[in-house]
Amino acid sequence: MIAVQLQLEGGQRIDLRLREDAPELITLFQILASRGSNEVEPVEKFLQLPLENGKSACSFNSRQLVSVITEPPVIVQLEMPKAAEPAPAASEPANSAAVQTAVVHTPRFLLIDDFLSVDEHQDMLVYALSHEADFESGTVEGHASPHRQNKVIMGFAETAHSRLLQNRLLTWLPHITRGLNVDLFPVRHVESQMTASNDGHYYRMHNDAGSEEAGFRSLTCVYYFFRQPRPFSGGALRLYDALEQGGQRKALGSFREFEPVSNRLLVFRSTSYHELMRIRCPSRQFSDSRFAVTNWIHKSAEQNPDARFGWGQLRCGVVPPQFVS
Amino acid sequence: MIITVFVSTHSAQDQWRAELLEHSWIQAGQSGELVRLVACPPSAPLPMHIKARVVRTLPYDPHPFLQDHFPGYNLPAALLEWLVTERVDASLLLLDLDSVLRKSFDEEIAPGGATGNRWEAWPAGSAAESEPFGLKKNYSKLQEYCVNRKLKPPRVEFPMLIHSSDLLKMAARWLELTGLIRTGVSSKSGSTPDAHKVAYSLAAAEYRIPHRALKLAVGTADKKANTAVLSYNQPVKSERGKVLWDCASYQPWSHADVTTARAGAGRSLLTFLNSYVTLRETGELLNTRRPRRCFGVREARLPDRMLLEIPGVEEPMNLNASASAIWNLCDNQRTLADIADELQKQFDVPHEVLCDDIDQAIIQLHAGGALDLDIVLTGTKTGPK
Repeated sequence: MIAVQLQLEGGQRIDLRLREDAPELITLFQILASRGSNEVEPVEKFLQLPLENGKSACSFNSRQLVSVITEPPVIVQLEMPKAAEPAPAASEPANSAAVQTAVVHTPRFLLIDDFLSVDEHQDMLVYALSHEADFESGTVEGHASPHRQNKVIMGFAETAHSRLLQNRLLTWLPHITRGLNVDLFPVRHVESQMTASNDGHYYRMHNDAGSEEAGFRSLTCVYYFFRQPRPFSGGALRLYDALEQGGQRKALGSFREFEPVSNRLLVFRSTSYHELMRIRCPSRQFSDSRFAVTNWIHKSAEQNPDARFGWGQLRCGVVPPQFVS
Repeated sequence: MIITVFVSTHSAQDQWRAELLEHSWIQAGQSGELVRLVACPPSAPLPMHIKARVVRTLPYDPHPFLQDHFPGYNLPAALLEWLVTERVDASLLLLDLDSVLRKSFDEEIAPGGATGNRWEAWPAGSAAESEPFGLKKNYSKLQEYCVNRKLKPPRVEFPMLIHSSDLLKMAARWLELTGLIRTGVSSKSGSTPDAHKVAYSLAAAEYRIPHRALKLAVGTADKKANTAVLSYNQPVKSERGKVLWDCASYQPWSHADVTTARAGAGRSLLTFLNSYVTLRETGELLNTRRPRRCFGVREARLPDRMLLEIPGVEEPMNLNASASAIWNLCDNQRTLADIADELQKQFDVPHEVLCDDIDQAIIQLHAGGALDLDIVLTGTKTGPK
């Protein structure tokens, strides 16, 4: 049996269990897949699905369906009639259909609390507060400025604070890749950026592997730190489900939200769509910002035994032989 | 619940140590679960145990990113992986592989504090060498990697009683510091065999986990064996100082010469070892183990074999004819010795072969979740006195 969660317009969620080969499951995917395609007519129908082993049922119009989450992930072969199919040639069967595969991805993530020690965490905060003048407005490749509003410190990657964080992160790396179900890979580069987000700041939905420059980003690791008690509200990170179809991936409306917690690391794949929700910080004081260090771990296509990371001892440019399954 | 955990590799040398530790855990009447973490490659077969749950972890000797050969990396790495993977929430009793349990630990520990064995050989520096952490001068390289060098680390070593949430907080730092000490600290001998022990103390201090230092373990040279744990990483000597027994050269399961051993913890250890060897030889171990069928296990009988459907397990377990015969006799009443007697009546098979078959079948059934083993303690305890 497959655990299925439907998200409908207005935020309503419906949980049900369906057999792997249930026709209702195919219908649900056909509805979603038809919306993103220029080639087929959007499927619109009245749906009734059984709940509690058929003791009750839920009914809705397919237009209301926003997303389908399945556990375990389900891959379906969808057969959908094309919208403007030219007249079939004499040799083709009249009911020729385009076969497409649609996969819904619910991104995996890992949370590590108490990522740094008490003093290290405090030291990171002191660093941020003492470098207020170095923070500049953040930019995004290929987007106009309203896509993102927060402040970034340039050159953070060269600091001892960045190396401290990187060394700890790479110590965790084999466990992180295992938790995310990713094979351990040779590291090419660890990109690092410290940000400060204050009142009204946000970062619209995007993924971190979107641009050519960022093409080798494999893992996104966000370390949060800020004053206690938390001097702001909002600022959650939303991690969106995505639909992959015909080599294209697009974000769905369903998501999982993570409230910022100081001294916590959140890790997910850089291909995952995510969004920083708007922050409300009544004092507007820089020191009350939500600070974060984002590390992007770049995957290398080749092994490099000479590459050194962290404090300079870690040789993460090669996959250790004992980790190759 | 207290989970007793120890870390090992899959080598034969580690196997006899693990079995002896398991036997001492049973004899001491320790409650809770016994877990053996085995740091080994994915292709290596996992050892099996009659009572301990065996968990495979990634091998960290050599360290994957430092290429430094040091068995001490396996300790923090295996514990970290296990805690992350199983989301453990319990009191943990951490034991060295080279140790046996003499008395049970009954009091659980709450998050926010731990208890460890007092480490007398802590590498303390002179008064002039106050930083970092009051360690000897050769640890000065750590200044570059540690934010607060004035902390006073707890001078403790295994055995350790600590809550899993506290260990999870500090485990990655423990692993990281072990590497930083190994690569950054110079010593006269050119190696730092205690790097993982120093690193544990530093990580505990950095993560503000206070430790009580108590006398929890004795070594083989101690005159009294009055602690809960007996550690045998040092050889056992005679009254005249001659080495009688050394774990590094011990041939499992041979008898050790106790008669000339110096009185105290060393002799106590050898007496315990010999009693376990005798139990193995005579098959008496079977008398102390009573298999109990796990709840919800369903069986399907086929002409030449049997299938067991175990709750929560996808694939049914396949039992051959002899394993089926053994399973049929597991009625929650018979001990393994009773089962051996029954089978002896039915089949004309040498006793040793029968005992081996029973051992293998029971280990398979236990590891697969079909059986649990109750320990029947008869007569006097055989734990090291």
